Formats: sequence, C-alpha cells, structure tokens
Amino acid sequence: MTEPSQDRVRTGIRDAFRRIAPEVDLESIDPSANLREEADLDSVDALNLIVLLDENLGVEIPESDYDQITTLADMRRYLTARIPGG
Amino acid sequence: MSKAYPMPSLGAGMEAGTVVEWHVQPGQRVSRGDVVGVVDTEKGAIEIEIWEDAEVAEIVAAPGSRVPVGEPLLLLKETESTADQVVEEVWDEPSPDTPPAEEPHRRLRVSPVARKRAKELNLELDTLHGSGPGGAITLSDVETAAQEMDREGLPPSGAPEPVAEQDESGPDSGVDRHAAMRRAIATAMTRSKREIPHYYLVHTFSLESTLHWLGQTNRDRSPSRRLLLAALYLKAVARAVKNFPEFNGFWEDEAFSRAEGVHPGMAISLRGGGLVAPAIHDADTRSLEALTEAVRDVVHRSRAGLLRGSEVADPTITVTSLGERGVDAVFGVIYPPQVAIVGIGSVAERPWAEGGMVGSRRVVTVTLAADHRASDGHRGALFLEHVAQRLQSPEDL
Amino acid sequence: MKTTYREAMRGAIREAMHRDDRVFLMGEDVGHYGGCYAVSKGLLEEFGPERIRDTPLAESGFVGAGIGAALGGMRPIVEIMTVNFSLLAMDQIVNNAATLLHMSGGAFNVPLVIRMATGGGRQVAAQHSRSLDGWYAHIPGLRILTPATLEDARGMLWTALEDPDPVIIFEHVLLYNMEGELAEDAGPVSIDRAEVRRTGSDVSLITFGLGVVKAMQAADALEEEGISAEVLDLRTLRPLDTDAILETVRRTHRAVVVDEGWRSGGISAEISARITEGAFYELDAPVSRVCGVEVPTPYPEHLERAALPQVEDIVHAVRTLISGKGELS
Repeated sequence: MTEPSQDRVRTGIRDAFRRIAPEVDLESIDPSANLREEADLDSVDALNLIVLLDENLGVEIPESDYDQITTLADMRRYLTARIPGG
Repeated sequence: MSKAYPMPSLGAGMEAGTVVEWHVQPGQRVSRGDVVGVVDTEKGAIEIEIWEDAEVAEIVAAPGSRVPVGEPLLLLKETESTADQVVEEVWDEPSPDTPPAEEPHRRLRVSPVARKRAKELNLELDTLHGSGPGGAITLSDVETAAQEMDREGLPPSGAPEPVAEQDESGPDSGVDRHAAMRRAIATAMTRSKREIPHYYLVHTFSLESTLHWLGQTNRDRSPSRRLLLAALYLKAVARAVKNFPEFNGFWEDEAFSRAEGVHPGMAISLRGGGLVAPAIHDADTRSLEALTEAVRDVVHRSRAGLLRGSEVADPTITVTSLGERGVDAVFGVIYPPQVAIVGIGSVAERPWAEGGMVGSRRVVTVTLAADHRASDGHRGALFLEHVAQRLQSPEDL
Repeated sequence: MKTTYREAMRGAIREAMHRDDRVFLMGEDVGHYGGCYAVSKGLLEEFGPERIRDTPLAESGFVGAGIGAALGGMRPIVEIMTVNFSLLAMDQIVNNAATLLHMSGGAFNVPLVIRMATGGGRQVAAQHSRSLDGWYAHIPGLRILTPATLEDARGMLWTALEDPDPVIIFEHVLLYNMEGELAEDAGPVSIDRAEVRRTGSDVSLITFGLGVVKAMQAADALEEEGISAEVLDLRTLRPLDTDAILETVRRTHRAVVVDEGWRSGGISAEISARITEGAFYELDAPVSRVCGVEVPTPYPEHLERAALPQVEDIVHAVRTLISGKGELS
C-alpha cells in the first residue's frame, strides 16, 4: 500500500522536525532545495534528525547514504522506499 | 539550622533571574545535583541545581518573582548527615558584632518586608533612603519611592521596567527574551573586547585520517550510537588543556585561577538569533559516545530553553564551531572571565602538499583566541598543535 | 451591667457551682475571709463549707488534694492565693497534674482548675510580685489562661472546668478592681484563640493580662501621634494562638511584645521566635520587647514602677521601632 507509506513518512518527518526545529515550516520549504541549508540544521541537528527518523519510521539511514537525502523530496522518496511494511 | 539557597550567577553579567517554577516543596529532601526549579534569564529558562544534601525548609521566592543574584531563593535545612559539620562551621563564625574582616562594603540594612516589596516593585534597594532604625530601609521607604516614581511619570508600581536589565518577561515572551539575550551578549562581548588583550593563532591541518576513522566507526552503528565530529573536537581540546592548564580557567581579581575540572562550553547558536555556550562537563574524561550524547542533549535543551544552571555557569574554556556554515576560520571573542576560546572552521577539501606531493585532502582550520594576561603565544601555539595531534589519532581520544 | 473583674470572677464561680455539683472551691482563706482578694466573698454563706473549703497554709498539700479529687471525678477549683506561693506546689502541678494523663497511658485525666493571682505593682516586694505565667506556659500538659477583660473573667472559668485536663487561670492583681460594662447574659467564652482588642495598621502590641490594659492605653497615646497600633490579647499562653500572632504581624509588619515577666527565657522570647519563624519576610523592623527589668521586683514605689512595663515604655518602644514617625519632640 503506497498511500499509507507516504503518509507515514510525511508524519514521521514532520514529527522529527517538530522536535529538533519546531519553528521550521516544512510546507514552505522548497522540496528540491538543500534541506540542511533551508532548515538551518547543523550537524547535531542532522544527527538528531536521523535518530528520530529511525525511531519514528524504523529506517536506519547509514552515513554513506546521507548524500541521497539532501533535499526534502529525496528524503521522502528514500524513506518511502525503505519504510517497513510499506 | 537553616541556610539560604541563593540565586546562582549563571554567567558573567547576570544580575537577576525570575523564578519560573519550583520542582520542590517545603519538607522535601533534596540531594546534591537535583534540579530544584527553573529560573528565567536572558539565556533562557535554566534549570537550577542544588549543591548539597538538605531539606527544603521554605520557598522564599515565589514563581514570578525576580531575584538578584545572591539573594535567597529557598531556605534549606541541613539533613542529619551534614548537621555535625555545619555546627562546627557555625562555631567558627565570628560573633555578629564583629564585622567580617574583608567585607568590601557595608551590607544594606533592609527590613524583610521592604526587601520583598521592592522586589515586587522592581526597585533598586541601594537607591533608596532608609528611615528606619539604624538607617534601615522600611516598607514605607519603598512605597514612598514607588509613589515618587509614579509622579515622575515612570512606570506605575508593579509594572516591569521596559528598559535595560529590568526585563521581567515570562519564559514565553520570545521577543523580550531575544532582546535580553542580545543585551547580555553585548555586555559580555563588550567587556571582553574592552578588558581582554586577545591574541590569535591559526592552525590548518588535514583531517583526513580523523574523518576516515569516524566514517569507519559510524558505518556499522545505528544512528543513535554514531559519533559526532563535534565530540572529537571537544575531547581533543579538553585533553589538550590538561597539558596546558593556563587556557582552562578564569582571569579574576587581576590573577589567573585554574579551573579544577575541564568543562568546555560549546557555543550553540539559537534559531532566531542569539547563542549560548553551556558546559559539557568533564569532557576530558568522558568517552566519545558519552560526549556525543551530551552534545546532542545540550543542543536540544539549549534550543528548547531548558539548560541547567551548572551548564550555563561552569564553562572553563569555550569551543565554537561554525564548521558547517562554510567559513574557513572563526576568530572567537573570549567569554569573560574565561581566558581562551578555540574556533573551528569548516572541513573543506583543499589541495594539500605532503611529502613532496600535492593531493586532495579534507582540512580544517582551528584558531585560538587567548587572553595575553594569562598566557603567551608560544604556549598557545604548542596548545593548538597539541589539539591537532590529538585529532590525528581519534582512536586514542 | 456595671461590674468589676472581681465580681465577674465571683459570678463565674457561682455559675459553675450551680451548674455542676461536682464543682467546689478550696484554698487559703477562700471561705470565712472571702478570699485574699475578696473574690469568694459571700460564697461560703451561699454554698456551705462542703463546697467552699478553707485549707491550711500548705500549697503542696491542698493542690495535691485537688488533683486527687479531680482524679476521683470531682471538678475542683483550687485557689492559690498568689503565684508566688504556687512555687510550693510546683511538684504537684508540674510533676503530677501535668503528667498523669501521659504517664497513665491516657487512663487518668486531671480535670483541675487552679486560679491564682499574679503580677506586681502593689508594693509588696520581690517575694509577692512575681509574674511566672510564662514559666507555667513552658509545661506541656497544662493550659494557661490569662483573662484580661471582664468578659474573660466571667467566661473562661466554665470553659476551663469543661476541659478534661488541668488549667491554670492567672488573675492579675491590678485587674480585680477594673470596672466596666458586662452584658447581663455574659457566659462561657472560648479559651483557644487570641483576640484583637483594637485594630491598627502600624504596629502590633502583643500581650496578655494586665499588659492588655497598658497596651490599650499606649495605643491611645500613640494614636494622638498618628501611629495606629493594633492590640492582640493572647488570652491563652499555652497553647499559643500562633496563627493570630502571625496574622497581626502580617497586617502591621511590626511587633512589640509586652510581658511583665523577665525577657530571658520568657514567653516574650517564645512569641518573638514564632514571629521570626513564621512571618520573617513580613517584618519591617526587628521584633521589640517591653518586659520586666531583670531584677527581683523592688519594694520602693519608684523603683517598682521602673522595673515593670509602663504605658510610656510601650509608647517609647513603638516610637523607636518606627523611627522617623512620631519622634520624641
């Protein structure tokens, strides 16, 4: 079921951002722009984000894949493809 | 025997804080290190800790009250375990008639209720004239002064002063908080540049082996166990200052005093502006895993406005990293009364000559800004080199 | 109804005798002589020698007999002529009356009322002028009453007799002649709470017994100087009505404790300590005390006067406390 997976990924990302950068409005972020620059995330935020995505969605993103999730759209795509039960 | 638990000084330039809430109540036992409440300062809401085992006898400062540094927040009753020791101390005290030998200035005589009312009205006690016995400031002196201020068109009684450090805004008032934090930064940085003769050193070195090791280490780790490069920087600096203690401590009263522990303050920029530099305690002895966790925790709490008093007050040296903002180097301004700040620039890929060959390397530029009163450039250079060397062997950190 | 403190006290005894036939009065000269201070005048004729009993000059003996009678189910009123002679009965009062309930594991209570005259000011010298009310207030197991008004002289006795445990009523010798209006239907009063006798906003005069009369006069004098004094009549020294003490201090932020007894280890020290413990942050000045000078009460009139708290001493203490307000001109 593709639809629920996408929803779960969106919810999981939104929840993670609410906890590390609550003032960031994900809707207003250009999905094709560099996410760390757009959301002003430093390396600590980035690691916290990866940890929360793992907790929320059960997807462990290895460091070597970081370059595959540089934009919001990439991140959604990456997670949707790997979310368990998706 | 009861004693006061005073408003702690949570950093240079702090004059007062506002009690947000208490986590304790009278009769409750507390142990050293317990968070007893939350105080609002220009640095955000800070959790304050207790420094002895005791029993809370009374809450002196109710939530909402603004309390100058050093004035009592709680009354503590010593618990049995500490009672004996306290009795001895009490006997050693000079009798009340004997003035303490080195009291810098006479203590202001203020009646308890006048002190309380002045706090409510936000009046500076030392500007008041005391008409009570022995020149004590009484309740009516405070009320009269408040009325005079009313007549002079100043803010009405009870209203917070809209200017300067008199900010009484609650923890939710983001705009005032921001303004207050800017003022605090302004005060500290101005003092730093006015008083501290900075000298600056720059050192650029390859981080290739460090990053390689970090990548290998993190490769098989689940996200929550991965190490942060920031933890490596902190550990390297913390271990280096053990060999170079003149960079770890405070310049106070015309002399340098070494800090006992190594608690690097980590500069953390806040979203929407401002920064804090809470201490990562005992960074020299903690594992990289523990430091990573501490860094993640403190960054999260800094931004959520939930730092603890000891974190804000304790830093013995500062580490600032603008590493991911694309700049090559940062030359820090020392946070007084500290004597050094280590600045870490971005990791960048550069052409690098080594052993007669030019290749591509990931390099970093680390700087030191240090107080020339406390140390000299020669030692500073050795210190920076020491930091670089430590980073070359991350497995030994 | 115009009456005196003495007559109000006598009325209280008469009422008790009528209401409860277990009540009887005994003490030195209470019968044929009518009481050293004439409180029991006429009672022998009215109630007969069974219930109005003259005793030998043996305080330990007749107080002990009173304790025994109380244990046996009677409701004795024992009159000790003055507090000075109560020292001879100290063992009976402190070691027996005050402790038996506790030491019998709650099996025996001692429903005894002891009345005694107290205080100085009549030029009868050191051995006859003591104020030891605070001493007795030190002892758990006793309730200590200090009626200062006609209403309390009339109303405290019956409530005290209803108390299952020993109660001591201190009647200041200079109050017996105090005259005033008393309601026809005046009757039993509470013995638990202190009373504000006069409200004020600048200072609290906290006192009991004759001190109340002097504090009221001092408050009048202070009012003329523009100082508003509140007068708190403690009424009961044990258990102290701490709430009432703290409340008045919270209103006025200043306290002067007036006690004819000596300040060292006295009830005034206890009151001051409770204020500091419970209302420190309400204080606008240190707690002040007007107490008896720490000497055996002198015989010569001028020296006795100087040794006991006087109205002008209270006024002066208040002025000093509110320095800058009502300064001596």
